Order: sequence, then structure tokens, then C-alpha cells
Amino acid sequence: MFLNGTFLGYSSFLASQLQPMSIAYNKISINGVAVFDKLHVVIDTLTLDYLLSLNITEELSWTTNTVMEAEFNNNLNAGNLNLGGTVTKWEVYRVANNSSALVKVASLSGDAESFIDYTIPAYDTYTYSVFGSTSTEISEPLTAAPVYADFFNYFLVDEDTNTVYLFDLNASLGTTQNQEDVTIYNTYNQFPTISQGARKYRTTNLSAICGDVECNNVLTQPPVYIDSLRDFIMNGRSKIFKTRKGDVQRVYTSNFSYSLFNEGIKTQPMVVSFDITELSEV
Amino acid sequence: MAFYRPSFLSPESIAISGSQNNDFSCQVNVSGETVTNYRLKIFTMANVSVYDTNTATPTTNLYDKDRLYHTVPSGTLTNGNQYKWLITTNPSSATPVYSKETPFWAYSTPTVVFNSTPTTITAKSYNFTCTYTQAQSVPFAKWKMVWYDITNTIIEDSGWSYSGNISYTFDGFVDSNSYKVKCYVESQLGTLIDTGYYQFLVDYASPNLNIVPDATLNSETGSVDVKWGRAVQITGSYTGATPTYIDNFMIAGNKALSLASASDSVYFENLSIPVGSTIKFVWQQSSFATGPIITLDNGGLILSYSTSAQTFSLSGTSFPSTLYSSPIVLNTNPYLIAILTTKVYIIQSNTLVASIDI
Repeated sequence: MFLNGTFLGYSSFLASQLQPMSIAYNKISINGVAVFDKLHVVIDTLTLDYLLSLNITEELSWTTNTVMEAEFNNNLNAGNLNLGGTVTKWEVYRVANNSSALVKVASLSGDAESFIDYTIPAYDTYTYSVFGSTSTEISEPLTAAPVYADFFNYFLVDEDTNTVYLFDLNASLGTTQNQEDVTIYNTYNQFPTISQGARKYRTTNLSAICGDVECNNVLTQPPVYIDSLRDFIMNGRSKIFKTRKGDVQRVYTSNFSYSLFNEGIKTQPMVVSFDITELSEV
Repeated sequence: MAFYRPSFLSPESIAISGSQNNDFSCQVNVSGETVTNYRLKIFTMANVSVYDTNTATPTTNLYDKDRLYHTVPSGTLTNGNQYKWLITTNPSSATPVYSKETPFWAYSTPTVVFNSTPTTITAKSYNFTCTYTQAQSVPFAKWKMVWYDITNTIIEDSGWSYSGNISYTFDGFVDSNSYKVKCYVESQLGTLIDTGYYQFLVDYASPNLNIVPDATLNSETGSVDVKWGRAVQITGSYTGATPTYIDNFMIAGNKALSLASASDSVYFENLSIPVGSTIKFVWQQSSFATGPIITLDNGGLILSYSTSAQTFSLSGTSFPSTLYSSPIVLNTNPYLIAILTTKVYIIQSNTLVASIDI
């Protein structure tokens, strides 16, 4: 066993055990007389082949492994942030293909590093932009590559708890009822008088088999599935409901029920259903 | 044969401007006949006559349900006053029939303008405000703003607001796009006016964040994971002379740091460079001076070059003895220097020219 640092400077054998980048450092100084450019520190052991293949004039992209990167473009900035202070807020927007208006999907604190967008409608291409802001400035948009929202199922999501239920086994959406406030008053005239309020929301119900189908086509329906789904449906919280048609609603769920168990049949699919009431658009 | 009063009179319970010509109109109800002549009268609310056509002849034949128009000339009415008017139509074979007395206001046409109209907006959001003016102080009843893209497709409608200041913040402009916005206002006397289109370009001109987010679809949850990582602000400091930067280093448009004296130094602190990291940089010397090139942690590691020995050396408190490269005669072209866990590489033109084994 060698005690690094205990026998400093007395053995060339020991010296070979002391490796500069096997020790964590906190400060880098560069000294004249010289020209410096592209001072880059990365948490990775780069290979000689990679280093020999580098185009040293190329500016590098900041990655999750980057510790610092100084390009010396008329300044001594070496971070990925060049604002007049720390980021206090992140705002996430998305824009649909061919649309000219960003849609804000989240406003997050300055220490956030990611966000899951459950509200994205299906069957379109979206581009996400992230803006960081300090107390005085807003960054230019940080734009990700476009992503096509390609999913086909019914989803029920509690975004605050990152809980997602996917309904894809014999899932069936009931007739959607549009709830409105219309009263027809018969008068002495030929036609009645109509009174209409602002009420406008949808109600429906969803049924599906509660379980998993394994690769061997065997259906498994652990009792805990029904228990947890029942708790989820009846927890009184609003949820995001996404349909196979691609639309997204904020809903309230209720009236959870499941099919009777026929004791004469050993294996039978357990069908659950519940009501869905639209609370607002997303 | 039954004749009915002229109906659907205009103006009715709204305001018009007395400083311009105004069309007064009504539907004539002269079943099976034509209007031979008509008479239009305007009174103040105290029944003082201010306008009377006496017997006037329609410019065209007017049949039942046709609309009769008459232009009251500018200056007849005084803005700020309320009036009432009535019209008499005289069918060809019957006694005249009178309309009801219909009130209206004469007032100056209100105006609405945007308070600030920059041609370029440098943010994703902007607060649009308008000023509404009416000479007789008739307030507005409601307002709204509508935003359009450059093809006049509506992208946002604020909806009618019935009180407060005419102010709305639109949040969601896309960089490098042009937009239009129009504000509509209706006065309490029913005049609908607008600002016309105000067009502007959105061009974010804010400081940079060198981060490329990643957006990944998760089809199992019907969601998209957006990740952008942590924002890190690192600003170097210096000792000695103020750093200078040279232009067109290696390639056109590229800048580089130039330290002119051996006592000049630039340093970066609070970095947390963990075990297993790689430090690399481009280095160029023209005066071939002896001395340290890069130092970690105030002397924990020092990479130097000696013009007399023509070697790179690695020393410092982390090293029991100094390690040397094989001799190398420097030229004035840039070198890529990389410090790894077990090696220091000195590379030029994609060729390894020296190294230090650690």
C-alpha cells in the first residue's frame, strides 16, 4: 500500500504513482509570455487519437462534462453563462411547426436543469426554447432540436408528482358529452326564445383492462394495480388527460369502478372505468 | 293599404361627429308604392330645430323596404350635444308617415394610438399600451388587442376588457419574426376605432448562454423531456498588465489572449476540476521565453518550458521530482497542449511533437 503524499519527493518510483489529474484542483493560472486560446477543461480522459484528430480552431459546445471553456473573445469568460448575475428563473416555451407564437409551458427556479412537458399534444413537430433570466436580463433563446410528438394512447398525468398512467389495453373512450347551459323559453310567438350561458365543458368516461401483457402474451393483473389506480382516480387532484386523438385537457376524475369477478373463471381480464370531467384547457 | 313608419333608423343612440358629413338613413315602408318625397328634421333635446330638409326628393326610386339615405353636411351639428331626429316619408298616394324621434350624440371622433412603437422588440415579451382620447371626454367602453403574424394570421386575441388602462403584455414572440398588432376601442357612445396595424420585428439581443438543450420524446408517458443542465458563470481574473486580445488568431475572426510579460498571469478560481479531467489549450510563443505556462492550485502542478534545455517540464508540490519531455525546438506556430491523468501531450498540426509520462 502506498500512502500518496506521505513520502513526497524521495523516490522516483513513488513519483510515478503521483498523477496530476488524479488530484482535484480548483484553480488554473496561465502565464506569459505567450498567446493562449481555447482553454478547455472537461471531466473526461481524452485519448491521444482524439486529440490528434482535433481541429484546434473549432469552438466547442458546452456539454454536461464541461468544467470551463475560455475562448478569450475579448473577455475572460469561461462559463456557459454570460449574464450580469446568476440565473434566477428558467422559462420553457414550445412552438409548433409553422407557428409564430411561443407557448409557455413552464416557469422554473434558477437551479432547475430539466423539465418534463406532459402537456404536449400529439402528431405535430415542436421546438423547445429555454430562456434563462437574471434579475435584470433575459438570455437569448436556447433552442433544442425539433421533436415530433409521436405517441398513441390514453394518458392520465399528475404532473406535480410525475405520475403517469397509460391506458392501452382494450382502452375505450365513451361518448363525449358537451355540457352547456341552454334554456328554451316557449313564447306566444312562432319561435321560442333561447337563453345560453357560458358553460362549455366536456364529460366522458374511459374503460380499459388494468394490467400488463408480457412478451409471451400472458396478461398479469396484480391487485396493487387496481388499488393504486383507484387511489389515483379518487385523489381529488386535477390531472392532464391526453387522448388518442391527440388533444389535451385538464380534467377531474371520479366514479372509479371495475368489473365483477366471476368465480367460475380462473383467469379473466379486470376492466376498470372512470368518469372524466374537463376542468380547463391546457 | 297599410303604411308603416320608417324603421331601422341610423344613427340611433350612438354618436357621430359633427365635423364631418354624416349619412342619415332609414328603411321605407310603403307597401306597393314608391316614396315621392321625404322630410328629415334634426332638433336639440329642447326641440330647437337645427336642420330641416323641408320637402326633399329621393335621388332614386325608393320602393317598399328600400333604404333611404340623406347626407347631413359637416358643421350642421355641434360636437358635445345630444340631438334627436325624425323623418317623414310621403308615399305616392297616401298621407305622410312619420318615424319615431330618435336620439343621438354628436361628438368628436375618438382616437387611439400606441404609446411606443419601436420597430424592433428585443425580447420575447412586450407590454403594449395605448392612449385613448376623446375631445368631449367620453370614456371608452371596452378595448382589446389582436396580434398577427406577418401573413395576418391571428396569433393572439386579448379579448375585450371593460376597464382599466389599455395595456397588455404579450409573451411568446419568436426571435427573428415580424408581427403586427392592432388595438380596438369602442367608446361609450358606440364608436369603434382602432390603431391600425403596428408592425415590428422581434430580434432578441440579450447576452448569451452557451447551452444547447436536449428535447427527447418519451412515448411511454406521452411527454417530452427537456434538459439544459446547469448554468455556470466563470470569469477569469488577472495579475500584471491588463490582458489584451489579438485578432484573427489561427483563423480569420478568432481572437486569443495575449500575455506580454512573464509577470502577467490570468487565473480562474473555484473550478472544481475533479479527478480524471483533461485540461487542454492552444499555446503559442514567439519570444521563446523560459517560464511556467500553466499552474494548477498555486503550484500543485506547474507545466513550464525551458529555452536552454528546450524541454517541457512538470513540477509542483504534487510531484516529488520534476518530469521532463524530450527536447523540442519550438517554432512560432500554435501548439495544442493537453494535460491528462498520466500524460502531457504537446501536439502541433495534428502531430504529437512531445509528451511527458507521469
